[in-house]
Amino acid sequence: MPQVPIIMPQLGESIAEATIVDIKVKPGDEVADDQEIIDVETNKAVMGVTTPCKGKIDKITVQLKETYPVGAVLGYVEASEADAARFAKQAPPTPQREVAEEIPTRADQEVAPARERKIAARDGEGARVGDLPVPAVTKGATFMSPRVRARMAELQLTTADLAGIMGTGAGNRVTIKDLESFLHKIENQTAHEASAIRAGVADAMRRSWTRPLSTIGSSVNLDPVLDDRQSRDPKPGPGLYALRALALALSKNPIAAAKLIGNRVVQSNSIDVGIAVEAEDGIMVPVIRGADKTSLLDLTTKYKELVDLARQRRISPDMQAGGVATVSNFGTFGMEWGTPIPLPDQTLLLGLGAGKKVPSWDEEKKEFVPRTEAQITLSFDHRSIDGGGAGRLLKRVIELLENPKEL
Amino acid sequence: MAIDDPVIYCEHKYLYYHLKADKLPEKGLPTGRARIAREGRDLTIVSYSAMLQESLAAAEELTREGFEVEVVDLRTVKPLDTDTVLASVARTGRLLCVGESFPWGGATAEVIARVTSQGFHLLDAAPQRLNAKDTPIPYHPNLWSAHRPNAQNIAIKARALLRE
Repeated sequence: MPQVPIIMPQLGESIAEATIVDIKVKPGDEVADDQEIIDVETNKAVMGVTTPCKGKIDKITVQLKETYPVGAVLGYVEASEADAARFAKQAPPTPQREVAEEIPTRADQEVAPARERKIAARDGEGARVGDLPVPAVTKGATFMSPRVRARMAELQLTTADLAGIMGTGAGNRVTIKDLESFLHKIENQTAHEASAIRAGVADAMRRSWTRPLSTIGSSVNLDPVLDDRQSRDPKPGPGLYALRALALALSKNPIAAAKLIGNRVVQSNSIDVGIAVEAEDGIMVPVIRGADKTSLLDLTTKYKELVDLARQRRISPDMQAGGVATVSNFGTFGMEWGTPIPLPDQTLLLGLGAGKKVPSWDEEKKEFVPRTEAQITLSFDHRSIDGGGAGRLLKRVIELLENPKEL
Repeated sequence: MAIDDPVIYCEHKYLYYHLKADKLPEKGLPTGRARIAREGRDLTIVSYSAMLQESLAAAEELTREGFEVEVVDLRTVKPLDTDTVLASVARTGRLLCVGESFPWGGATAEVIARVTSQGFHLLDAAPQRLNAKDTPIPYHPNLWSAHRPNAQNIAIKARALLRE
């Protein structure tokens, strides 16, 4: 009896492959025409693959949790001559049919998962996976020739350093000549060796910037914090109130600070929050461990010690590592708002602007009253958290700051 | 040839147009030593035998467009003077190999294989080669001239590589 292939269908316009999540039949099962037998998952939805015709499942050639391209043969149905002939007639003259006709001749071969196929397909120009074109030639602005890469490695340059070069190669790519003339030009300018801390900050910021970063902000009434501060000794700065508020908000909602690594959401076991401290020619971020379990008083003492060490540049890399979020009090420079960049290994950065007396409408008194307002921002890695999640977290931080007795 | 062993010459008849008695070298030529037939800084064309003359003519044509093409005359293909070729590619970053033999394998392929394996970091564009067409050699003069590389199509290939 003829074998009719079960084919991974075209599941959507931009979908090239899908992952097998459920196989509902086994070899020998009788199946009807158009019966859902395999569930596949794309990045958009779970969909069913149906049988091409009535018959008996001969074999299933795919494995659960593996990904296969559109057009791949997933298995075979043993059908009667009549049903098979009808399938051949129905099948449109599309690439799906090409695959279907070609593959049964080597039915004993396993279908390679999509990833392996893709790499193989890159070898030639016009390579296609499941009839979708795969870019075979790397040209244009993002392409760096081996020569340019070797020269960059020699001079310890990074892609970011080359951002200022207008490429003259194909698709505006930077050629070795462009690089050399750029280097020649900067030779005439004053230059000095960057300090280790500057190079460190540059590296961290560059790595962080490879992510889709976003910032949201709101205003916060600082008067409660400023009043509360007077009653405490030693007096914590507004930055520390913000740090404590963020730590408390995160202790209730630690997933907000989780990192996305590959397909895994990684969450820290402890709410360790860093605070940005300006040092000579760079920034240091000492981390306060278990900030949600440390009282504001202890935070103040700890912070003082850490800042003193940071200013003397005696803070070790260990003391700056492992935070889940960072607070940057850019208000200390008199700035009202900013869009700080989170540390590369963190998802969140809370920024606090300078306080400013502004008229605020009082609904009860029906008049404007003066209050000290500051802008508070939350920069986040949009891969891990969305505007809504970040907004709720920031809202909670604002609530805590406006009720500082809870801190 | 400056060697003691017996030498059999298989002359390229096309070279008769270029080998004038007054241009002949006085001393024998060394083996395994390529020469820079023309200096340049934008592209290296590696060639040998009759294709050298075509490559030089192509280089001349490209001068009018502002390109300075370096032409390396291999002189012997085995031994092959990899050092001279690599030094030239180091100056220019781009390589085009021109040969009159069939494209499958051969001297041009060997040059590219050596440059990519020993001088990958020197290349600013993928190395290219130009050979005769992969067909039997036609007899008719028009077909024959379409079959083998010439100054015009070397210049076209070089221009494309220079624009990479």
